[in-house]
Amino acid sequence: MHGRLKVRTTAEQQELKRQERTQKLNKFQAGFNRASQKRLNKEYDKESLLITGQLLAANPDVSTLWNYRREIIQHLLDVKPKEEAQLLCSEEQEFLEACLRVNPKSYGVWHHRSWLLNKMPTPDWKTELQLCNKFLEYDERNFHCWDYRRFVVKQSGVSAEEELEFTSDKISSNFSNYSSWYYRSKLLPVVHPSPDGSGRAAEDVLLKEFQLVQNAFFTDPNDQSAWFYHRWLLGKGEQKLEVDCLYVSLDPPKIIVRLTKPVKVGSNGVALSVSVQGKQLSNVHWQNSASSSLYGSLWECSLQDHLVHGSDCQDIAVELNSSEHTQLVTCALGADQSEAKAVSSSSFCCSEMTAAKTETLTNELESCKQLEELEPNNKWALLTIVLLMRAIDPLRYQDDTSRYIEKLQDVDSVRRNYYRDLESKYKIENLLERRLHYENCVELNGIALTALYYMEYLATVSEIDFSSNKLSSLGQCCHLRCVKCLVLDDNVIVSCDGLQGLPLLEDLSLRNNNISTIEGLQPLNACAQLRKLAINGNPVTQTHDCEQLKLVIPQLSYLSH
Amino acid sequence: MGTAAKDVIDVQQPNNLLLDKHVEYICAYENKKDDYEYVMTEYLRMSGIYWCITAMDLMGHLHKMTAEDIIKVVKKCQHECGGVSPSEGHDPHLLYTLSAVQILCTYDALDVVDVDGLVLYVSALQQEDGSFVGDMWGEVDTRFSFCALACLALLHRLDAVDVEKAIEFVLSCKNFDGGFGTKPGSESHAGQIYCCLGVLAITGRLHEVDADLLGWWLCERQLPSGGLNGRPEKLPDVCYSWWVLSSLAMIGKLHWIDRDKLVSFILASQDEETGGFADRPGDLVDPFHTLFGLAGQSLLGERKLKEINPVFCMPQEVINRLDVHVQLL
Repeated sequence: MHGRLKVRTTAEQQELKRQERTQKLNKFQAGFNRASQKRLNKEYDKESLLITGQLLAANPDVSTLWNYRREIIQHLLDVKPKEEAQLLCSEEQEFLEACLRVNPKSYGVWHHRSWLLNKMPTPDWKTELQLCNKFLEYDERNFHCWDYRRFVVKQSGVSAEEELEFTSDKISSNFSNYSSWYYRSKLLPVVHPSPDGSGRAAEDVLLKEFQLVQNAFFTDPNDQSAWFYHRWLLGKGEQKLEVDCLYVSLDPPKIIVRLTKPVKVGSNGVALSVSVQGKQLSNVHWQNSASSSLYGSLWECSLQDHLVHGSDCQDIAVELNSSEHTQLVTCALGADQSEAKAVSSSSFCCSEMTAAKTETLTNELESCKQLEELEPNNKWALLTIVLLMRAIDPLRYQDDTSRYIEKLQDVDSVRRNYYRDLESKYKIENLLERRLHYENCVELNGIALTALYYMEYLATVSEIDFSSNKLSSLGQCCHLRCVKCLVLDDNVIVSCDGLQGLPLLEDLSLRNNNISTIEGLQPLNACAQLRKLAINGNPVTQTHDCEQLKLVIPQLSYLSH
Repeated sequence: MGTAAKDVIDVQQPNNLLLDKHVEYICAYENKKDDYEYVMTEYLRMSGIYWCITAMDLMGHLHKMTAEDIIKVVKKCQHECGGVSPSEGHDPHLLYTLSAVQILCTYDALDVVDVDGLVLYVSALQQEDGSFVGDMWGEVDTRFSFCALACLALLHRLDAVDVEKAIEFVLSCKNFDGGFGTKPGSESHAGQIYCCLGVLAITGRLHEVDADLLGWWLCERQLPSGGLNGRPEKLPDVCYSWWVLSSLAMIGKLHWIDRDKLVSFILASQDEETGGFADRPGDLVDPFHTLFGLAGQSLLGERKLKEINPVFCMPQEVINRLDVHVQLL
């Protein structure tokens, strides 16, 4: 089905081919029918092995025949003495190797071999490993062979160190090494586990990997696998589950908790409990802000009847309980305050880097820039420079980052939308790095934003301006749980989906967008506090008048049309 | 300098969708029961039927297929154990059990099989670690996790398996590049990624995926010719237009590939004489690539085709009729 070229042939050639195929077909059918008959009669003999062998050698994907062959072999193993059984198995191994030479990527053959090795009285795992070595010589990317190798390694107790050595050999001897680098990513944390128990590899080992991978892409700057591996080395480890922000408001009385990763509160051992003035509240109903999921990182609950107006200072405490750990966060709502926050002090982007890591990454950046001079249009070098700058110091390099991403959109234009979204992500990260999301008003206008990231981090902001960008979807706006005034003028928005249910939204501006249907405005019906709406410059105003629009959003007092 | 990337020459013809020819091709295929190709692919016939009828349904010509005959065949292929075989005289397997359910859902004819028996067969294939084997012979593969969960989702019988464990197993197959392989420790591959994302979409757990990282790996499948490959350094193939594209759709990053260049590649893989799509321009066509070529076009917004559901690779209207819901980012 794959890789068969359509070749023009004469009528004569076609006729010859047709005859040849009819012969093959008849032979196959006869053989298959004979085998099926014998199987029905529970015949597990030499003839069965012969017939299934002939059929499978040419058609290794007919799994029913492998099934029958396994029944035959199982029967013979049950009745034969040990030596004969072992001999039968090694003959089967030879048969399978012959099959593999013709069809090295058949699921059926590899699976049968692993089944066989599990049945063999005395399996020789060394031979199996050598078989893998041989087939990986033929094709280093044969994932069937790699999977089989991992099976052999597991069964025979080959150490992770030895396998790591194997990947080093493979990587140093030839190109097209994606499978080896991949295997390495699995072995490193096993051979050199990080002492913090995170499951990642130890830092000093990862830093050495940078050298290895740099050699690879300097030897061949178009060797993708090295660049992919490099990106992984730059990545952060698994995020620890913690409370990132606790927000309390008096009017309406509620709590918003932002966690560092999405969970389902009340499930999988994750629980949030609230205490006001030292008394734990019962029957707290937590709701998550994400519209399309039961999981989320932003959770909200009402404190109706638990917070008092005009009181002295009220203490609120939230406890996060999970299998990972327990954390208590407290917040004090002062006598004359209407809201309060307790926020994590950690930097948004940058985990603390050791001097060694900073030095390594800075050297990496230098090297990649040298490569850029040699190959100014190599998108891998350009992208890696961006990733390195983000890892070292996002704010210091923000202008350079923008320049490089613009160049990437030009050099690698097929992926321009990816780069635009990446740029948007970085811009919002920079805002968060500057802790501007703890202000009451956030402005991100005129910066060519194509996507909204980290909207959970704007959950406590009351005035937001995203005008003059390239936003088409508002799906992520469901997390803007405190926004009162939202400006989205001059974007390419088609639908208000994402805004429904925003509890405090009063004033919305959507001038000069692409809303062309009433359905596009329907979600606003569910914004109970919405009073002011501006939709001038949207196609829908051409087809619908004020009255029709007010029917959809009856709670409005002012509509700018 | 350095090795040139594997790709095909940029072919620009044909450059429009040859719908009528594809309808002809599939109709003719159904009637070629003595044909060499047809007989030799008996071992996957049930999937072959699913590819053909889904392609026809997408094109709005399902009525040209002989529904009665097909439904009869499906019924005959259900074994006592509840599982379905690809054809008569073959053993049952999870792959063909899913294909059978997809066919019967399309025809709204689930009542011709023993649904409880089928559910029992599927649930019995789940292992302690949450994985699924393809049949009693024990091959583990995330493809089978997808087959099992998709089957049960279409039948509204997800309660029959340990869904949490199934998710746990799929997540244990997550790799450094954000992708997924056949088993824990296996290299990322677009086909496996489609299967694993499908499981997560069915169970509402797509947030467990690093959408940006995986989306990037997926959009890097697009080559200068416009076609998509299945993993780095491989040739482009029309079937990846489905697996990569539907994966991107599930995680909300469909716009990260160049739509026009991909459309151009898919259209160039059509055969103007016979109809049908091949894996790449100039190669021989088959129903498998015909379905995925059309499915890819549908996802890319081709209006002459019905809307396709990215998780089940079935017309969205069928999924709506079944009242099945999946998560999409």
